[in-house]
Amino acid sequence: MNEKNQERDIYVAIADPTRRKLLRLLADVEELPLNELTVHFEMGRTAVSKHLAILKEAGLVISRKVGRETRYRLNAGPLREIEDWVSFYRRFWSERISLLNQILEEE
Amino acid sequence: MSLTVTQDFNFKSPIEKVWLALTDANTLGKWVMANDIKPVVGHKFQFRNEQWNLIIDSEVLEVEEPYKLSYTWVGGGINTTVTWTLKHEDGTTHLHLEQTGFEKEDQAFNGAKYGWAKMGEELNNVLEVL
Repeated sequence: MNEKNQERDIYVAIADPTRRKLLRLLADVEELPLNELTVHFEMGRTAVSKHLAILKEAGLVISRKVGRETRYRLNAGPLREIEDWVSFYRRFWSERISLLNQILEEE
Repeated sequence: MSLTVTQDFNFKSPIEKVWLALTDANTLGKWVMANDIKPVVGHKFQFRNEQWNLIIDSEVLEVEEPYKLSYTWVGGGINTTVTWTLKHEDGTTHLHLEQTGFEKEDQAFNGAKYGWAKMGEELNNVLEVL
């Protein structure tokens, strides 16, 4: 998987409010089993588990089996590059302005 | 603590033309996003991009044609002010951008709240078509 695909996956992963809530819950603790995560939502464990799978694929969550239960923990590393609004807008405006430059030159 | 984004750009176009690109809703829509801006102090408007599910609420704070334009930029997890300053010198229009009011505590998670990552890709598509 190249870097660009991985980055997109992270954005997709945290674009969803349920998954952001999962990350916040995991941010406060060492690790949590699925059952204890599920009680915070109005959806079943299967649905929560699907959201966790997406977070896992994006590398934001790590899971391990302990007996019959699966415990999840946060892996915040990949979030660092996108948690910075300032660098986001720096890039945003640079890209917008190059588009403006083209518009001005066209006319 | 509040942080600021500042950037400087240069254009060969006359200052009036750059001013128009900043204040005419149609032109501004071509390079930022759909909006209903009017260069009138107190005018409330929005930037909208339905594909990103993003709405920015804005209010014009300062208009000094064609040298200065300032408006609020509120939405997507941040509450900021955008100020454009223009200057024409030796055939070049200098455009200075300041976006102020980024709060440290807003940073975490909000960065991707509206799937903004797609923006980069879409812009590249636009540029390729142009």
